[in-house]
Amino acid sequence: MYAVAQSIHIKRPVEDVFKVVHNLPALPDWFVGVEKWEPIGSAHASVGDRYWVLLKVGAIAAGGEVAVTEVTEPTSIAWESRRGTKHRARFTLESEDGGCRARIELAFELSGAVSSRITELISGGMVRRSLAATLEQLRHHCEFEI
Amino acid sequence: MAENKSALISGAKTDFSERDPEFIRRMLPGLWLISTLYFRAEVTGMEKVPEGPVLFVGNHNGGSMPLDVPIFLLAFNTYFSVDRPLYALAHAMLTGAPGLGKLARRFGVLTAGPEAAREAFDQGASLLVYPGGDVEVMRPWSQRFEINFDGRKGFLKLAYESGVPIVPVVTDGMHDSLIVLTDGKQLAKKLRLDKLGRIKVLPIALAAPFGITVGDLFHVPFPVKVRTNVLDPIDLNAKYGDDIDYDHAYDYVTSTMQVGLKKLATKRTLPI
Repeated sequence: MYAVAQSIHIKRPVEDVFKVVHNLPALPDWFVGVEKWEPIGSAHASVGDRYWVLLKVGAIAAGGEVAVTEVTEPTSIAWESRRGTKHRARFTLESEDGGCRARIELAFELSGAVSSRITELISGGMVRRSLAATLEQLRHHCEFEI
Repeated sequence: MAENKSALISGAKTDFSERDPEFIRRMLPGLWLISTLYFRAEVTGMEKVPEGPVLFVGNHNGGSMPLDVPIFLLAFNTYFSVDRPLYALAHAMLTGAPGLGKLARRFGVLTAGPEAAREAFDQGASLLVYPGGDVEVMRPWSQRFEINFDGRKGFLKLAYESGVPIVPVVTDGMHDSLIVLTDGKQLAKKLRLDKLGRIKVLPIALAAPFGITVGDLFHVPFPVKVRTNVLDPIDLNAKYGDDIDYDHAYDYVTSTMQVGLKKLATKRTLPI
């Protein structure tokens, strides 16, 4: 899998930021590039809960059904694709200088030996900028809007 | 009339009548063509600008050739017509420059100063300011996605006391029109440029046509893609009431613009 990670310092305690990240139904409020994010059934943010998604992260569009695979309060939450574009996303939070450091990692499966390398080269910066914007929005949301 | 007397480079006296709406009207089509062809300029979000005087607050890019400023002036005058006055506050070096200073003043550029700003609002005009000034416009290329107002909060006081909303404007791309390797803050301090001309930086940059330059007095911008986006207005009086905390307001405005700039940068397909 091709993975890109970004992190940011947020001037709020880990527990406060986790509440925002854990509120998955409200993820489009701060995740840049979410075009569709619909719970399947009464999904919220427990392991096994599923969503229909369409994420446009830089040049990569990831669509399909995802399932929450990890919820460790208050430090991490992750999902993984079940149908559609194969990808996984993981947020981790750790205390840092009176606030917290939020990290997001997004991994995609790219097919083809040569074409996947080309895609990585071309799209790497775009995905990084997109994740950086997402974390910036999360920081602003946590510091000023809750 | 307001005059800047404290710096060696004092710039032009403030004269609102120098803005020439007919001149701007005549120049708009040709300048838009140049902006479109050379910079593929895009300006979005103008519909968010409320009626009446507003304080546009922008991030400053592009070294000695911050051409995103005239691009925004063009966009504003096109969208709202030249009959809605907009003035831009600029460093004395620009308004006082022979030839170029006169041209800038006809487009509504004034020497930066609080008196000129308040007078503009009193006349019902809007203002465009770049609080980061020379520090931000000469920031290293590696910080091109960062807002850097250098802790300057005067624009907040101006908006709050004048009762006008702040309209943040973020621009991405223009800071690729030269590659600033270092801003040379220490060097500027040692040469006392801050005392002589309120200049806090002395950048070393890679720029056309001279290659590596010190000071960036002039360069020909690379033909980069420039995107500008107008964000939602921020009414400090409504947000803070009678008890404003300028430190908090500064953090809030710069944070809002930081988000806006990073989101705008996601539209790029290439690093430059």
